[in-house]
Amino acid sequence: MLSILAVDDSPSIRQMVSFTLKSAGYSVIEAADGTEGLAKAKEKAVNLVLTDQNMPLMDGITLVKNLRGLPMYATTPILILTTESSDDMKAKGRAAGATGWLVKPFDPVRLVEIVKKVIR
Amino acid sequence: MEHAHSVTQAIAVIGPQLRIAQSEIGRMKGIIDTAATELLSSFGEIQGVFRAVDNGQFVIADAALSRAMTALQFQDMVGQLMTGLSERIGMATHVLDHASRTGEASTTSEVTEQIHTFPRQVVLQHDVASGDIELF
Repeated sequence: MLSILAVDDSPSIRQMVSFTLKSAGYSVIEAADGTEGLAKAKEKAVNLVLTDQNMPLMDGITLVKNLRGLPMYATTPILILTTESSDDMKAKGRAAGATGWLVKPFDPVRLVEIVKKVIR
Repeated sequence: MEHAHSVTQAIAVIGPQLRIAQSEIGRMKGIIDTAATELLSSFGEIQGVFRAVDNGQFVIADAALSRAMTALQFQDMVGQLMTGLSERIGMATHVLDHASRTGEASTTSEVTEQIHTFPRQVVLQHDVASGDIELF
């Protein structure tokens, strides 16, 4: 089963992401911030990372940079799911190595479509 | 002199009110979080019903459930707005406390920096329609 790491400091968003992705047949690991996400990503390689941007301890873009620094995550799709929609932030996400930028609120059907499109 | 005294009195009245407002924002956030958790729990039960009906092959195909999931994310947006509002009130309270103690409007460079770098809008969306998607 393909696994996805969902990182978000909002418990309800994590719950909604998990609910959506598990319903589509993926295994989901949850983390509450970038630091916990990085630790869990190192523990077990996942097939896709979906992360929020604004989080305590470590933000999403810093998480992307850290993951891209690890050989095991050099090509893993990493999507940023955030309320941030400025072009400046998107450019920073892209430069950090993110695969895509999704603005909240997310449509569960569209989220699954995007995940199916990019997951390896 | 009388003017300075009345300003100090005004600050002494406003400061506690701002702290109460900050506390109430925290309570509102807690109530909304709880309500959202309850709704999500109901979604889980609905999913269970679908699974039973579809013999484990349930996929989110139901448009109504999908729309509800999208709309429910208002809780996250509202939560972020409340956190931003609370932080702004915290900064204002700090400045007022400093002014009431010293009679000066200027404050520590740390708070000044925080005020200047704080985003104008913490959440840009104005409704709960699903957001843009861009693959790089």
